[in-house]
Amino acid sequence: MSLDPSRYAELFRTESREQLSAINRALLLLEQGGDAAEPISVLFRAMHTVKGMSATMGYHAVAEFAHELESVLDRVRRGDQLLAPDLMDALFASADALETAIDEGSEQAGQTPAMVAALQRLRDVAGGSSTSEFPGAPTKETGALVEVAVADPLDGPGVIVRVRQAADAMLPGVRAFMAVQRVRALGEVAAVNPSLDALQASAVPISFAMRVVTTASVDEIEHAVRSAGDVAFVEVDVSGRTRRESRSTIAVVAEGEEVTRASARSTRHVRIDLARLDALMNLIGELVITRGRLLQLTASNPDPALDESMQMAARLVSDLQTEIMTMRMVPVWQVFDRFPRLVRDSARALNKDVTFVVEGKEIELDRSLLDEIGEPIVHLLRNAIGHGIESPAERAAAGKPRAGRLVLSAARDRAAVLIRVSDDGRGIDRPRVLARARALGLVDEGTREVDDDALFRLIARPGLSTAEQVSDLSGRGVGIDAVQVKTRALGGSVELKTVAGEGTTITIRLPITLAIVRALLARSGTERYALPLTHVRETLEYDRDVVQHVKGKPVLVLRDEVLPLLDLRDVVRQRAAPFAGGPNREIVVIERGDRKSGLVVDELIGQQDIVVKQFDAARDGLALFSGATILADGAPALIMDVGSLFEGT
Amino acid sequence: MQVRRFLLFGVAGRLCACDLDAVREIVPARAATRLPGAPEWVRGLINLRGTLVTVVDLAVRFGSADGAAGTRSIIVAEAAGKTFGIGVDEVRNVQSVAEDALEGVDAQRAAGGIIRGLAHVGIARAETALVVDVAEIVRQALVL
Repeated sequence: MSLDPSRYAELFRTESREQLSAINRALLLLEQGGDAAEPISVLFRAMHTVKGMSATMGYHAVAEFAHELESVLDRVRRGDQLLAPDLMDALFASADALETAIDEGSEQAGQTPAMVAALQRLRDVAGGSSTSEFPGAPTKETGALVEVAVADPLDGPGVIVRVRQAADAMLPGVRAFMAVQRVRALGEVAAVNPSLDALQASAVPISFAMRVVTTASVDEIEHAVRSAGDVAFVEVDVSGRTRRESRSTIAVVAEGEEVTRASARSTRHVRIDLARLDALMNLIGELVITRGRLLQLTASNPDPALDESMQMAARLVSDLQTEIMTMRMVPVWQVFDRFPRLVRDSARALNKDVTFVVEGKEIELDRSLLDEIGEPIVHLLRNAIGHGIESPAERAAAGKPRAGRLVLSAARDRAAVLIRVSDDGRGIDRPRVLARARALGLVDEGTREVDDDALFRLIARPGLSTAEQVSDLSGRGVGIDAVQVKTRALGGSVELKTVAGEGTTITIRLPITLAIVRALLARSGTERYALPLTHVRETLEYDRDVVQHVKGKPVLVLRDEVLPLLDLRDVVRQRAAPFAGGPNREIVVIERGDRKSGLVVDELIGQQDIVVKQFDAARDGLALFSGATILADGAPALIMDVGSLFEGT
Repeated sequence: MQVRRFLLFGVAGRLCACDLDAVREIVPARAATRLPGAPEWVRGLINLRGTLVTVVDLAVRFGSADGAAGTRSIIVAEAAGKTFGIGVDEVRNVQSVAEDALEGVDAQRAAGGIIRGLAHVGIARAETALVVDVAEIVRQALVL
């Protein structure tokens, strides 16, 4: 081939990763037992797609490897091969080898050492491939395309799409394959004529037709085909489609074809470089600030016409901001999906029996936050498996089910997202942690008890690990430290709950988005501070009735609770008078986990969306701020990391 | 002979100079947001067209009795990978200074390392300017 296919390499990798994710999900399902037919056919289809795509890209080593896997799976499907545990292990190893090879974009002719090893293992377990003359004659059509084998493949429900490629088309095989893939995003491609394998193998521009069961419009289909490039002519023949027919077929597809549906969902979207979204977000941020300034200006120069236009512009800016924020939101499953595999591997390596449950996959989070939070979650999961969940024998002796339960959940909580890793293991050994802490001089010699919060602060210190044995997987307790640092950097906080013998729950609380947060603006003296609503529970007026003194210290009596009271003036070290209660001041009730506290401010200016900006920290500056923002009048204001106010108390 | 270009400015009645290469722009002084806990000579954050820039006050650093009262301009500089502002009383001009008009540069330090020598400037080198080390200011003011 004369054209450098590297332009397609990224597309290939992205789509292959989606297939690999489906492969791993299916393998996990298979391993759990139950009906093997569905996962096997998912595996088969995904493997077939990977094979096709890599062959088209000229990654022959990868294609051959996928072909071998496909033939083993075929034997399993036909019942000629038993799905023994050692075969499962070999398949998992093969999936890993495939993933590495795809990530490296193995255009080189040879197979990677991992692939060779995985193949050897597969052959040992399942015998060699019976049809290994790949890439010779097109292999038997399988999976999604298997129904092609009727007299006239184009005869049946759906629309007929006829395509002719441009005479000067480069890489016609790739283009044809891509055209089919693009159409597949709109519905079920029931048949392709000539066959997909033949299309892919084509070195000259080609005409082809496909039958598609879809509700997409003619324009959408035509657009999809043309987006593959080098298309001279497209015709969409809808004579075969009736309303009822297409509806019912789509419904069937939606029930049975999980893989098709998943890829349809993702390919209907446009992939945008995150840097572009960031740039857009920054511009919107500037616009939001400018809007604030303009609103102030128009307020001081009353003019009905100007005022009306300004209100209109202000509303449009708000809408634009909401749109872009929404654009940046992605469901957490995009990161969570790789965890079941990770948990399985860790559990096996440590001889633990673990049932892994994921909840709240659909919860959405800002893309950049989600990217950052993956690593901390991995630490928490590994910690839970390594240190939390006991060995099956130990669990049985304690009267627990042999399999430990590990739950990863995401949930919305007002302006925050909670990500929780919870296990039913042995819990953190408080006496041990305390003994270590005393030995290291981290707590007073006489300390015999710690609450969850203090315990968390102790284990979050680098070097204080309670693991009996230091394992490869969970390291030396640096995990919790890393989780804490990362979460704080993202404007969030970490909470711990642990009960001896019953388990441990660690909750990461994050703002929904990084770039713009809703905050309370508070005045202290002449200074203004932003308090993100993530940690604000409520506000109330300073009142002699709610503020009392206990041992000379002011406390807030809120319903049945007595909360410590902080003065923002003290917190930010304003040189003005020390604690000055009294009328005209207000109290913000802040919370982190179960801990609450009152923060006395001079005045609450109001709630608003603020654009979070980073700044260079000054030497010796208080580590109380997660960033700064620019207010409507153009002056910067610091954003308080409310969670950190609990550190000192 | 090697010639270096300096920006000349006044701080609390003293003539100062810094390498022109480090200077990005000069903006009028504006209100800054205090950074709690930071040293007193770190004035705080200013809004520079949507970017937050930390500003230091040289007058305060030099121990001037009037503090930052006379600060009218901010030199926006780049050093050690950071953009930051230096509050000064007035900005004078740019002058080329020959090597032999520099005295003790990088050999003698003063004002806690911030002054790295003297430059003889002006007509017939009649005036003496304190050469300020902008990179050292960053190192002392910010967390790198």
